[in-house]
Amino acid sequence: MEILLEVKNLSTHFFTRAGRVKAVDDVSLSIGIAETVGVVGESGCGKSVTALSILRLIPSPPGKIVGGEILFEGENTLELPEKVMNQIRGNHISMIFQEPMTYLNPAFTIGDQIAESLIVHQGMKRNKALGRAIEILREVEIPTPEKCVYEYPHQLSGGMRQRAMIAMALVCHPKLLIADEPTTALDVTIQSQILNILDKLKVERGMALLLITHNMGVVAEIARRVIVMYAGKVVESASREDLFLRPSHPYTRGLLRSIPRLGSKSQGRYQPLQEIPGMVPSPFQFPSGCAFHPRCLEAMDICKKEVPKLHTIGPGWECRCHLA
Amino acid sequence: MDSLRDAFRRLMLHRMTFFGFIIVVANVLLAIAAPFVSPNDPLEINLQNKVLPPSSGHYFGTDEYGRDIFSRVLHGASISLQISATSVILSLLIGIPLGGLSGFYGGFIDLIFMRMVDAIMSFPAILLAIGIMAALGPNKANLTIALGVVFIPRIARVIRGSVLSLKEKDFVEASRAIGNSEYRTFYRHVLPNCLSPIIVQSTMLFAYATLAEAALSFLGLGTPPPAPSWGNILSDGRNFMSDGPWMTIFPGLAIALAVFGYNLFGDGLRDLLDPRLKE
Repeated sequence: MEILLEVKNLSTHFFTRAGRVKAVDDVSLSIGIAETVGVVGESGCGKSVTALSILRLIPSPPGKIVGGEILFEGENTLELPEKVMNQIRGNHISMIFQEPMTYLNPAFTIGDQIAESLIVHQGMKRNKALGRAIEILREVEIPTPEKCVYEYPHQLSGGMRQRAMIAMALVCHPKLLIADEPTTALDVTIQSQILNILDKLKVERGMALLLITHNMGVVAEIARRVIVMYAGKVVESASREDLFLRPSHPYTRGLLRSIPRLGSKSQGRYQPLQEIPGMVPSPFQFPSGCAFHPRCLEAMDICKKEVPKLHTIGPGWECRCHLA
Repeated sequence: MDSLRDAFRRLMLHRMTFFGFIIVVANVLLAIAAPFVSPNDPLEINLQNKVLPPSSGHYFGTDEYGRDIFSRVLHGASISLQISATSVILSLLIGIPLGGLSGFYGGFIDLIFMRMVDAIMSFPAILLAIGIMAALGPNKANLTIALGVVFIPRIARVIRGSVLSLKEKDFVEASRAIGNSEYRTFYRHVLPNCLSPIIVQSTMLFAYATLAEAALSFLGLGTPPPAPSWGNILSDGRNFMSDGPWMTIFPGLAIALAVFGYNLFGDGLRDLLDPRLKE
């Protein structure tokens, strides 16, 4: 598969008064054309920072991309001037966010916000752009797009707002869509509708999708490859089948064990939901060695001393563990 | 435009604000219509009719030169409105970019601009205006400039505050994510959301400008006589307080009513535009 986006050894650190936070540390990943890649992990593991780094939207100061390369269609975007980067954002790489209400501007109609991308990137006239906005709203399955273009964000429900945001992101036909927890703020029925729309549009347009989530179910549904992150590092990267059937990193196994299952019984008795003991480590003070070792059920002496390398354990399958 | 119509509907429901609104509208209409509806030329001197009390011929009486006070007060509304409006617009034109850039970019620009603003704010407003007028000389253009300069820091402060909170909003990040430049993000996504504080602050300054214009004219540092500015009419009547109180009562009432109207309207607008108070 031809590679669309390749992130090589990306490190994004935040320089705060309390010290340096290694939010993303030596992360590598790649996305092929029209491929769907899921990134999972607990809150604060660096998923969103990775996404924002790809678009170079890290608030600076305090954030800074301190190392690595981000190759989009073979070009290192970290070296591009801001002006060229602006032509990539929203045009070739788009992003949708978790909370659709706060990411829509309350002072403008939905139509104007969708049209803005077309006006900025394609120099389209406002009326024509609004016409395109109606078309894209229909594609994201908004029931009355002709009415919706003239409505303000507060007049829409949560699911409609998320659709409007997807419409905003997709109106310029980007090659890559980064979806940062697109369904987290929605209820379950709306979640599945939104995922179906994303999946449908992705296939229709041959668009790649980088899906960031902490919901294993969402990943299992639409991602082909999955990257598991912990404490700013990639701990496992595998195909969906390998990851769910043969998880190799203790953290991945912990995550999969802690998913509640309907009617899960063993020997006729209900079992309590399993959890990963402990807390996500403070980003100011990651544990020595493998950052997961204080919570790991299989920790050994070496885990406290040495940071494990990312071992290749199969085709397209990597794991950062001394056991691998 | 739905939101505007909505705001208007709520304005109707809010009785005191509506009252203020009526005063403001009446003031504006009278100021525009002054040349057509005033019975006499406000500058015409007629010594035979001097110091006449209010009557059917002269509704507000006449002053020491026999000028019709009713006509002078009507024309005074026009002068007062012109100067208040131009000085507030001037302060908006300079104050919005100043406060906006300060808040949005922060850092060194913010430091410089805000220290300038602090310097101006450290003088009492009316004293600074008197100082500027004394330096520039009394005429209408200078009066506008003096009041404008006095108001700039107030506008800049309000805008900076709004921008500081707005720039952290998620939709500003979303604007960057769709490829808008910093500048476009600022004027398309941050500034429009500052509209309500701008409107409210402007009505407050408008009331203040009306008062300041009258005060400076009264002191001989504003609109030069014999122009019928409210402050000038008051100043002319000052020597006849016991023999002809109408010379000071009517312009005084006009000033009080106009300022009362602006303040009522401004207070009401602040309540109406405050999103936390929306029903």
